[in-house]
Amino acid sequence: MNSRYFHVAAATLLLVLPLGEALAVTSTRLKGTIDKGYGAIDLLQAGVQSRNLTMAQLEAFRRDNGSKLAFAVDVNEAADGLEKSASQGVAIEYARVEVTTAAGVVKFEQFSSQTQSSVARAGQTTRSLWYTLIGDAGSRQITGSTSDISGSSFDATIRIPVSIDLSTASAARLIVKFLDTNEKLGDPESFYDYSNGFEDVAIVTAGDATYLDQLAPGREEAPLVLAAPGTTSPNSRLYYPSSDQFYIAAYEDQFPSRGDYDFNDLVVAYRVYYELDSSGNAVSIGGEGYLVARGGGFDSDWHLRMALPATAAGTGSVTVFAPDQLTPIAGFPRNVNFSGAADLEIFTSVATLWRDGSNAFVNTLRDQVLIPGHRFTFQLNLSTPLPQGQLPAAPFDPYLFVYNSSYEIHLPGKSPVLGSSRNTRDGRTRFTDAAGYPFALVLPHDWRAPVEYIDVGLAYPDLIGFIGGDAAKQDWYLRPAADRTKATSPTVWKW
Amino acid sequence: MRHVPSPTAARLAVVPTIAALLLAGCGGGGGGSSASTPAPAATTAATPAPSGSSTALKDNTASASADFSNFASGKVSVPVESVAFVGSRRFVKVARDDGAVLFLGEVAPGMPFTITVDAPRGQRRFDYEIFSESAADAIVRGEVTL
Repeated sequence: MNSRYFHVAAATLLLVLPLGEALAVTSTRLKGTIDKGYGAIDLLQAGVQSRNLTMAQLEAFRRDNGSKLAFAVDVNEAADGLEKSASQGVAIEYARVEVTTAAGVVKFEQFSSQTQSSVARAGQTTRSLWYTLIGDAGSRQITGSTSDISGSSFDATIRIPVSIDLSTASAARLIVKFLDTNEKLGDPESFYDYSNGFEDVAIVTAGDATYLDQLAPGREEAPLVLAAPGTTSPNSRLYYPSSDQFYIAAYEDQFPSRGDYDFNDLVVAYRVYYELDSSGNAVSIGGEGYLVARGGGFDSDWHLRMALPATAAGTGSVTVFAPDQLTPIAGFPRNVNFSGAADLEIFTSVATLWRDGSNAFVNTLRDQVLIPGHRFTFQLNLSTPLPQGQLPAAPFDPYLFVYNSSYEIHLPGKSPVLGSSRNTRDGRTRFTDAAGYPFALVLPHDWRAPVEYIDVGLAYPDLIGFIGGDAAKQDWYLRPAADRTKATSPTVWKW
Repeated sequence: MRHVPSPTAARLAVVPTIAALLLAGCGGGGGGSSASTPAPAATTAATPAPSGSSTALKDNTASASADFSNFASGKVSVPVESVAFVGSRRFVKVARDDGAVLFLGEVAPGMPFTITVDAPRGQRRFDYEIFSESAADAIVRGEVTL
C-alpha cells in the first residue's frame, strides 16, 4: 500500500527564465472548479487571491513539466454503488488548454491521464477507451511544502502538452469535460460516471504530479482500470461474491458447546478478488471487509485464510482502518509473507478493538444505535502466477480463534490450522454441534444479524425450511422478522 | 453448478427434541464466561420431517447430511474466440442476473474464457458481455444458465 506521507524536496522550484528572472513555482489550487462535469478554469486565478499566478509563472510550470502543463484533480463523487470513499472515478470526454496570444487563441487539445477504461457514453451501447481520473476521499500531507495541495485530497493528474512559450501570452484557461456515461449498462459505466459534486483543480509541479501518480489513490479498488498505454499491469478482476457485494461470516463463539444460535457473536463482511493476467492466471489476490456486529462476550481474532497450494509464495500487506477513517490504525499496514496458504490474521482481539461505549456488545442489542465498524483491505502478490484451477475456492476459510477457549471456529468441512489452538489436541476438529448445526455460517450481504439472544431460526422463520431442503426457501435471508433482527444492512456498515 | 438443490431431496430433517430444550441455555452471545461443557456426539440418525411449530434451531436438529451453504459454485464459459471485432483487445464482463458483477477485465483473444463463479443459491443465470476498445464494435451479449 502506498504511503500517504511524502516528502517533496522541491515542491517549490526556482526556475530561471530567459530574461534572467527567477520564479518560484509552487503547486497552486485554482479558483475555478469542475462543476456538474464541466470546468472552464482561468489559470491565473488561484483559490487564494494572494497566490494568483502570472503568465511567467505558467511558463515556469510548463518548463518544469517538460513542455506540458500538469493539473491535479480532487475526484469528488457521490459514494454510491461501486463508488465509495475509498475509490471514486470519472472519465474525461475532453480536456484542453486555451492560450490567448497576440495572434489569437491557441488550443492545445491533446491530453492524458494515468488510467483509461473502456466505457460507453450516455445514449450509446458501444464502449471505447477513455482517459479516467481515479481517487479517494483521503487527504495527503506533503510535508515541508507550502503548496496548496499539502494536506488536500487531490488525487489524479491530467497532462496537456503546450508547445508555445506562455510568458508572452495574455491569458490561459483549462477546459475540462467529464464523460456522461451510460449508467444503464452498470459497471464500468456506473463507476466512471460523474455526479453533481464539484472537483477542485490545481496546477502542479512535476514533483507533485509524480507523487500523485505514484500514490494512485483509489486505484486498487476501481473496476476495469487500464493502465497507461505501454504498460502491462493486470486489468482483470474476478470477484467473490461480486464487485459490490460481500459475504457475511456469522459465528457462534461457544464452540464446542452449543450457543444460543443468534449467530451474532461476531459478524464480519468480506469480499475477495483475484487479479488476472492476460493469460487468465492470478497474479495477486485482494480483498476488503468490515466488522458488522459483535454480540459475543468472548474475545477472538478473525482470520481469513486463503488455502493456496504449497507451491505458491509471495508478499503482501493487510491494513485495518478505524471506523469511518481512511487512516490505518496503529500497526498497519502490516506486511505479509506467505509460502503455501496465506493465513491472514486481520482483526486481532475484536472485543478490545471494537467497542460501543459501556455496552458489552456492538450492534446487537435491541435498542442499540448502530455504529460503523473497522474496515480492512489486503493485497497478496504472487511471486508466480497461478492458474485459476489452483486458487482457493470461495467462500474461502474465514475463521475465529477464541481467546477464552483457545479453540478455532471454522465453517463446516474445514479443518483447524493453528498449532496454538486446542482443536486438534482435544479432538475438536468438526465444526458442527450436537444438534448438527454449524458454529459459522456464510451468508449473502442482505442478511441482517439477529437481535441479541434471538435464535436465528426465529429471526428468519424460513431458515428451518431451507435447512430441510425446501428449494422455495433458498432466499430465506430476505425475509427476516423485523422485530427480531438488527438493521445491519450494507448501507449501514459499508462506509 | 454443483450443489444444485433438489426440491424433493430433503437434506435435513428437523425434529423438536427435549434434549435441545435442555441445552438451550448454553453459552451464546451473553455472558463472557467460558462455557466449556463438551458437546455430545453429533446426531447422525435419520430424522423425521418437522413436526413442531417452532422454527428455532434450538427446537430442532439437523441431519448429518444437512448442507448450510447459501452459495453454490459453477463454471461460466464465455465464447471470446467466436467474436469478430475491429478492435484488437477483448474485454469481458460477467454478471449475475441481478446485475452483480462477477468478472470485469481484459482477456486473451482467440480462446474461450472460463471462470468459476460463486452465487447465492437459486441464481442460475449469468449474463456476459464481450467488447473491445473500438466504438465500431457493438457489445456482444449472451447468457449462461447453470
